[in-house]
Amino acid sequence: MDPKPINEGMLLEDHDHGMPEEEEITEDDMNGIHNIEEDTRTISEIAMELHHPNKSQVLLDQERFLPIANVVRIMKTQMDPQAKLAKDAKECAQECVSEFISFIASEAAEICNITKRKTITADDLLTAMEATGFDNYAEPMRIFLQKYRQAHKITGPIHRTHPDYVRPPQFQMDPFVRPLFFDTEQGRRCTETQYVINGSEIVKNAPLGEEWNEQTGTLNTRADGYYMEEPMEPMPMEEVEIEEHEEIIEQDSLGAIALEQQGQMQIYVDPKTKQHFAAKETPNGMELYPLIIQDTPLQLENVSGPNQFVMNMPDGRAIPHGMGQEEPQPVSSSSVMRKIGQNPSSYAQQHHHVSHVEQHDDVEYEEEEEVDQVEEDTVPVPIAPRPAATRVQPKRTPTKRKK
Amino acid sequence: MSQFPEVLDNNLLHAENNETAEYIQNDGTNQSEVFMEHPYTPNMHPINMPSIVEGAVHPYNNLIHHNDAIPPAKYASMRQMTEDFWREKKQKMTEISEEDMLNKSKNMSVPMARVKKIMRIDDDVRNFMIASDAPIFMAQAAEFFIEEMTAMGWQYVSEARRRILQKADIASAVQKSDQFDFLIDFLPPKTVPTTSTNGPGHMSEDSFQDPNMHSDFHQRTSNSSVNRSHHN
Repeated sequence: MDPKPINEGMLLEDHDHGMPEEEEITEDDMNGIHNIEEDTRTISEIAMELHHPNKSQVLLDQERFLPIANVVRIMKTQMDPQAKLAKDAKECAQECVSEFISFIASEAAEICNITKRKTITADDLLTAMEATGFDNYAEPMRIFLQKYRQAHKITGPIHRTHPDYVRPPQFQMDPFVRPLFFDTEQGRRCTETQYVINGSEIVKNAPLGEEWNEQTGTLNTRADGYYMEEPMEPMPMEEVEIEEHEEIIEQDSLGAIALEQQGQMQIYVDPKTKQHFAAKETPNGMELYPLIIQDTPLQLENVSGPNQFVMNMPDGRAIPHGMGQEEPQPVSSSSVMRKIGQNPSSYAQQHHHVSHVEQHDDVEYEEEEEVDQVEEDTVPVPIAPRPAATRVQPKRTPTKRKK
Repeated sequence: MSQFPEVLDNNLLHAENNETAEYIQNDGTNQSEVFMEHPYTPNMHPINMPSIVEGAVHPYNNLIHHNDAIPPAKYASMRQMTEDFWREKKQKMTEISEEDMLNKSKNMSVPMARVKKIMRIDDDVRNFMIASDAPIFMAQAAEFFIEEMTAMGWQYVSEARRRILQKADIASAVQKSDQFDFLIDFLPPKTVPTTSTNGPGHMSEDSFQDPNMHSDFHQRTSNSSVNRSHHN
């Protein structure tokens, strides 16, 4: 009979475990170390033979897996106190969880590739889980992410649910996961939104009733804003939530422009000078407004420069303003930036708070509300109309790797 | 692979069933399959259990047969266990306080640096930067993964009235769930572990070794010694 040899093995294992608890723990640790070494060598051989025949690099033994003691401690929380764990079960869980981490990270990397971004964030990992069928993980992990941001006073991007996500049956009756709020010296902030202000800071609560859409479970943003934004290293940034325009305009004696939209603002970064710009699309093209970053751990320089830029497409041509102009500076391979109108003192004393976002080529941005410029010496410059690029985001089928 | 043609056929049939069946039906099908095909419990019904022989020689004989000291399974089905598991996890995440979150992010149950290194194992990830919140997020997900896999395996142990969680229980849990398809390479289906009879001493690097093959303790010690000397 087949069961008999297995039972004999089980009995032998039981006999081996019939020792005092302390000694048993010691033996488990020792066996764990040996098992780690052997499993590492085996899997390394398979990896080298199947995927990298010419590579001789192999990760160190201890680095390929999580420590087996940690894995066993987590496993025992799901079992009876009197239950026992076989050695092969410990090793099996250790290998499987490493493959899980590598698998999700690889999927998140593909998501970043689609959106031309270079940094994998927690939000990308969450989207990767939704894309690969780990639907049960999505809501607990999203709540974890909101709580983490709230505790560390971090604002992150709005999460866009992957189209392949299917809500599990046990969560069907639950309300959708909502963003949380936290308090800073400048006021109340939201964990899942980003606003940009170019002017004096206004402290307002986000109008949750207007922004939160219960039916879709997301903040009211543009429908095709799929994987659009990418935050850099999450850090305690100070951001402002805007609710009234007139108040902003009145309080800003320097005549700066306040920008507001329901979703996120597109931020461009000049890689050469590290200058940040807020992008605002007008009928005449996309205008860039310089932003000065403060209180950033990266310690960027506060660069004072002209107060307005106009970005040309390769097929467009900018008409220079009557005031002084400089040579165009390269921002990206597909566009040329030119400065129009110099007014350094108008914003040298301004304080802007913004999160870092890398530049995106061919980025569309739909402004729902427009605020007129207050500066008297700034006149809109007519330039060639920017062609309306329609971005179609192809739907991805879940990619489950099979070796 | 060719040594087990029947097993392959069964797997193909199961795969087809899994692909075509709906979510609920799939669970029902898997549940019935579990009861019929669990390798360690040929007789599931207590009525058919052989009676305990008095004066059994081996002290662990009671683990094989029905034992009143072992309580019945907590959940009636794997699906119910899974739903209760995730409801509990979501509730736990919802109720965690801001202070507990700060403590949790500093003292994760797995080391953060190790998680980051494992994330970079894949070549696709090597060209990317990893934000500071990603390892913490992944560590929490890994904890959920270990807990869910163990809970599913433990469900099989409870249904069989046993007390030892083995690799076969985890393998059965993995095979019954679509979300674990990426683990197929690590858990060959229904392979009976056999003792390796490889020659003593150093094993050639070119030789292919089945990851599911179990070496005896002496060989493990020998291999460990070889690895240790190599790294020193």
